[in-house]
Amino acid sequence: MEDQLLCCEVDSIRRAYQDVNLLNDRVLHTMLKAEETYLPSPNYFKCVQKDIVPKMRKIVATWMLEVCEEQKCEEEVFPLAMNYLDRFLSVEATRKTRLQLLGATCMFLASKMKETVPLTAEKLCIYTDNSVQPGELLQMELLVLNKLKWDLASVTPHDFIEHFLSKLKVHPSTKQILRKHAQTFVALCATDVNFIASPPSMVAAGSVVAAVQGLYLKSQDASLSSQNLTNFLSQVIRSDPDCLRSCQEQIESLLESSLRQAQQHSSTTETKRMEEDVDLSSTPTDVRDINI
Amino acid sequence: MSDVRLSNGSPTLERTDPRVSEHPKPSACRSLFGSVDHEELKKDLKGHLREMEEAASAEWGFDFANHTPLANDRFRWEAVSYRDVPDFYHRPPRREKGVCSAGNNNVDLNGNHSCVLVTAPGGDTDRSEGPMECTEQCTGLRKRPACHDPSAQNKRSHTSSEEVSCSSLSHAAEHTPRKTSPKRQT
Repeated sequence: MEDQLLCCEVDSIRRAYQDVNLLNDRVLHTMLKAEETYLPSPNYFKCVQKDIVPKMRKIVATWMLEVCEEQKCEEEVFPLAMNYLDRFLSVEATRKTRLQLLGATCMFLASKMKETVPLTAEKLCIYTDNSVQPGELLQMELLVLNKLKWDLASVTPHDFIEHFLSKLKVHPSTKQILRKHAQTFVALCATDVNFIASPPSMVAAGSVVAAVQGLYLKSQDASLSSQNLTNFLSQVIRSDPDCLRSCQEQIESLLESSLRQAQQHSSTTETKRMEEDVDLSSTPTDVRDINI
Repeated sequence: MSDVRLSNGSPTLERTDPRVSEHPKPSACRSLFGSVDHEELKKDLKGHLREMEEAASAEWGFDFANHTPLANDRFRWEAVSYRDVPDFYHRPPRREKGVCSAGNNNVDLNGNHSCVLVTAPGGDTDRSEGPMECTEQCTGLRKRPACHDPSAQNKRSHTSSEEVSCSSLSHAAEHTPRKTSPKRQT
């Protein structure tokens, strides 16, 4: 019996409790101020990179998401890793053959930042089909750290989601689903080049609005109607409602195109199964469809 | 209400399972952009790391490779006994059970190559159990010059333990920078 209890303790993931004292406006404003410093340069494909094009970022991002998924990383690891990747690419011209090494290194660092049991260099190298060696990854880690000026505490959309949810009057169980949907949208946005320059607060707010929309929560409460919610959240993040609306629309169309792509893939190949799973099952509308 | 599943890899709402230890799915293991030019990569990385080390040397007036102060007017370096600094600067990394089971014993949980054990001569409290004993077999990566990156350190620039943090070598004493400011804090 005792042994079993001990086993359980060791096996499950331990997390710190959410500190409600941190969900206040002072923290939120500090985050809004801080997020600017972690934004990548919006046009690094044009200004810095010669070998890397936007399509390749999508490829490496999809792979990274897949690895994070399979390794059951904490949700914020992937967006954080993408932030490192974009910030690195904003300052350092990189060859496309080394983009995957960079992606693996960024996951390595993000995982160390956010997880109690981080990904190992060895495992990440296996995921590159051993095209990268652990020694290279460790040296790359130093280079990335140096280029990021050792500042890895980026603000991510995840940091904002909790703040926004705390301001909505919804049932805790609904909140949990809302959180999950919003996080999925955030991950989706992190794979898309059009959101590179969007502040995390904007992506988070857009994702929450899109999640509320997708779950048809507006019928329950007028404050959750698209317009009211957009107005409210745009005030919270000190932005323009139109900006937020266009961000939300962008997120929704991204979802739609991902879905369409996934359907095409599903009819052709099976190798893309994972991606398809991500896209198909993560959609609020899709989930509703299944239920009805 | 329904469950949302991101994928099979992710449980419903909050992830509670521990990290999977089995081998990764073959489909996820792929090389995306062709083969890596290992020789050139090695050369480039080496160049970058050397640049970083040189920049840190210039910044701190210290030759990190040889552990000697450089002639400079910004800092005065003093030797400090390792006993006078907090033990996390010199204690060996903690190893968890089963970490080394993957076959490559030189890579630990964080993927760090077996780091240098700093059981300094006469170090009494450090346990040295069999598997915990780190060896000094890994050469190139041992000195991690970026430890000396200024931005990583400037928050502590007044403490006396400055450089000892990176003295992964078994030196009993280290040099410590002091600003040559006329005012001395008491």
